[in-house]
Amino acid sequence: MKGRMNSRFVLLAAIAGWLTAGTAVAQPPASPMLQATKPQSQSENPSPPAPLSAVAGRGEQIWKSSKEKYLGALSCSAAACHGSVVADTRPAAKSRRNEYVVWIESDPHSRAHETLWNDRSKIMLERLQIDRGHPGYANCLACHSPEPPPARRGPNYFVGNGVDCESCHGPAEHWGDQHYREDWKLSSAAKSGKTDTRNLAVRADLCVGCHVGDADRQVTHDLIAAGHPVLKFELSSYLALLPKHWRPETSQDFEAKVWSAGQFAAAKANFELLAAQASVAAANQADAVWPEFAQGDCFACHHDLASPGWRQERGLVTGRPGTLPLSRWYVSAFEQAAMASGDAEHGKWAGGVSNLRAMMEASFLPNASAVADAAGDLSKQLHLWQSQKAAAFLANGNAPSHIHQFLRGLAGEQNDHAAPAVVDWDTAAQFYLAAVALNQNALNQKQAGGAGSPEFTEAVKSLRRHLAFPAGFNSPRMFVGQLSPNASPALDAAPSSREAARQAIEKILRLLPETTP
Amino acid sequence: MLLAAVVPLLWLGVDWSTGNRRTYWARPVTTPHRFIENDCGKCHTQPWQPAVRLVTANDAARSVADSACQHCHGEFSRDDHGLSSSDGAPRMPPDSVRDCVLCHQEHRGAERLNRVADAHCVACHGGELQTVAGKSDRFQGGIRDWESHPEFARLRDLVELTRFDETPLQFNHEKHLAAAGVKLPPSHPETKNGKQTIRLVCSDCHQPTDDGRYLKPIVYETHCGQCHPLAFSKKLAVGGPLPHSEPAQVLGVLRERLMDYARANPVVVNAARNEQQRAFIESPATSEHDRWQWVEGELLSASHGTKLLCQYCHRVQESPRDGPKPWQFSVRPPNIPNRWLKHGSFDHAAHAMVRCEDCHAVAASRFTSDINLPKIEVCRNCHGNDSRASGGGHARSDCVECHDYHDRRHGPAFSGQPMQAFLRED
Repeated sequence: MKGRMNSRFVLLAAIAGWLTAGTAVAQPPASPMLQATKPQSQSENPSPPAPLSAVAGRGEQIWKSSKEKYLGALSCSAAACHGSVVADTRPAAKSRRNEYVVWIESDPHSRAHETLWNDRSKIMLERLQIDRGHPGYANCLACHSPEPPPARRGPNYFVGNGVDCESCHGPAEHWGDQHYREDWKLSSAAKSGKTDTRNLAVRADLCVGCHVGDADRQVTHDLIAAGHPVLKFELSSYLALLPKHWRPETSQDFEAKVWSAGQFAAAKANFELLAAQASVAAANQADAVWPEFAQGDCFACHHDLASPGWRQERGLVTGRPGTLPLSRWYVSAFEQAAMASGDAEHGKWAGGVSNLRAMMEASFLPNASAVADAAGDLSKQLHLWQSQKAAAFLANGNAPSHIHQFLRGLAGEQNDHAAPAVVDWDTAAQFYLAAVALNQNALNQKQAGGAGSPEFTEAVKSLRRHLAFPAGFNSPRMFVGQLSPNASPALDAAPSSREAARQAIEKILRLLPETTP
Repeated sequence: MLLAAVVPLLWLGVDWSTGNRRTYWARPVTTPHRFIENDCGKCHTQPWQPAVRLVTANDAARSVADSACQHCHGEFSRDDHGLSSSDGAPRMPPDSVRDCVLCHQEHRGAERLNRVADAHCVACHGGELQTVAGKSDRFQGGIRDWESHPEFARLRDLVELTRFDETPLQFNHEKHLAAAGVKLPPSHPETKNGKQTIRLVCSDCHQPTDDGRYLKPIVYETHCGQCHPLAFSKKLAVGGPLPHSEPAQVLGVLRERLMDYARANPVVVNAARNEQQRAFIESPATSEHDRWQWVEGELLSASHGTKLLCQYCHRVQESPRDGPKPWQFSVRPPNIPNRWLKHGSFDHAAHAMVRCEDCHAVAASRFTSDINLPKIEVCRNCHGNDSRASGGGHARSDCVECHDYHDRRHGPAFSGQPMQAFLRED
């Protein structure tokens, strides 16, 4: 009897469960982020506020720094100017005359506007529930198709050229028809509004405005969830991949200097971005998004669910469950780069960074105003350094040794592996990219040993293999978390992969020159 | 006394028998008509008309009828004035005398036959002009002489000109005529001789027509193509610059070139396809379908590049990107007026002693909206009233210097007799 009562009860419970489960499935989930492909119909549920309303800039600030007009890429495109298919290869020629052709044919920047109209972008607009007239769309345009306000446009300015000539070289109103004359001097360039793109610090600054972001141009977690690629930028690798419309640079230690410039510029942009996001939250705006997940470590949440896993074995980075670790991509790399440069001022920055990290990792909801202050302060200091001292630092410093110190610091050699900084994929990838820059630099300088040796190159390639995500995954699955030799292999999912990566890093460290000035 | 009467008559008879009619001319006949100078009847077809005119006081009685002139000058008639006017044919006063000989008076030397006196024109154009549709507001009335001649019609009505050519070509004369010269593209044949710049002059682009009166239209291939070749991509430049034709045709050429490129570079197509499919397994070879797909994908960005090429000079119309049809663009060619003087004519050959820039202020013209047709004040620098008190020495300013009564474009075709027949008949 009891059994039958029980079974009836069980049956009733099952039916009830099935019914409720069915209704739960039938109702669309409340969060717009979870609906992958179908836009939410207005009649079913009231639509939540569009996520882009508080986000980011409208791309307005970027036009406030100068007043000159933009002439448009067309004005550079005459065949006799920069639009010739046939390059002028004479060594004495000041320009190769085919810059526009290279840009339009091979440079992805020329297709940036078109990207806004491809399938992925259209899906993103659906997921974000905005259309192209929404004010938040200006955030997309600010990077993909920077449009000066109408008062700043010359008569032949056409929108839709993506990231074009003047996006980097500056508005051409005053130098457009001057800079090819016989009496044009480079010294008149700065006054006329022409950007000095030879200056590495200036160049790095140009890139990070979009590739990392700033107060005005933000790729937030909402955008990434909608489909935007994550912005993990590193200048020397991006520059190496860019089809160049200028002559290859042959100055001493150029690749290493690019790496240095990139680290500082990217960190500055990231701190500015974080400060902007934190200050919106601190002002308690109704639709502020805080904490901003894009500032956190991606793989803290997007990770393999198998247990025990490499992350658990590594231990909690923040030391406290339920908190979000700060992304290591920009922050740790910058911290190490600052410590490695040997400059006292940079050392202070490293202290600021660790304070910032402590603030961000103190709780799941960090103190927004404190973070805004700290990050804003760091970005201002970096901005000042960049405009005043960066050029001298890059010109006079020893860039390769900067990278040596960085690599050693990142691997924890300085403090005897007590607290190694290579704790996750981001730092390992930054390690790899720095090693590549060093390797390329050595090869350019025709150094046979050390960083230019075939063993070094092989070690770097091996590390690359172990950094790659397996096909079909977008997070490291078998990645080695902690790379100190003290880590226990017992809980490891793929000991061979871990060991191989560790050996690659060790080999790279071994091949670095011993003496550092 | 009888002798006094008989001798002149005898002399007249002898003179008549020679066939020479010089005695009876008021003055010599104009040179083109000298071949019938002794055959009065060829022109003076109506007898006794001077007497008729005196007696009946009818000014329309002429001894030279229009048909006499139209034996040879058949394409002209008194009624072919203003036929091509868009305002409608002019309403001629019904009782106006408009035969040929009213304006074209023979027996006064070569100049006089063509040089119609201003008074004949001013008779109508000095007052209000009427057309069959009513008062004309396109043609200005009240033109009594050269001094009161209004500004040229094209310059008077700029709004109409803007409507006439809504997609003008963008051209900067100042840059092209700069004293320092223009830079040559590296693909220009002159660069082989080491030249990097070239100094352009007006005649490099503006060539006269065969009769020297006007200038031929600008043709892209001849005048622009060498310095502005249509090419935006090195890999698609195989085969030369793109044709200067409609976007659809240009894209067709691009499609062919892209296909050639795809066939020659299967690696590129392979990579694109694998990335798109995120293939875990690399497919072995590219198929024709893969190549077509790659070509169509590339064609979209190639269209964008082509559009920018066209946009350098033309106004381009684009279809909306979000629309149901794939994005495309079109170019409406400019509608440059063939004749800038709407009602007058001009002969550049007759002005060969003057430099282009003396009348056309193009050296400072930077904008497409500049109209480089000189204003009438520029003509007044040389053309003026001969009888002016400030002292003549001006070029002629008669109405007929620039204007023609007869509308040659719409008048009847010549249908007169062949010359031999004309000479034989009485």
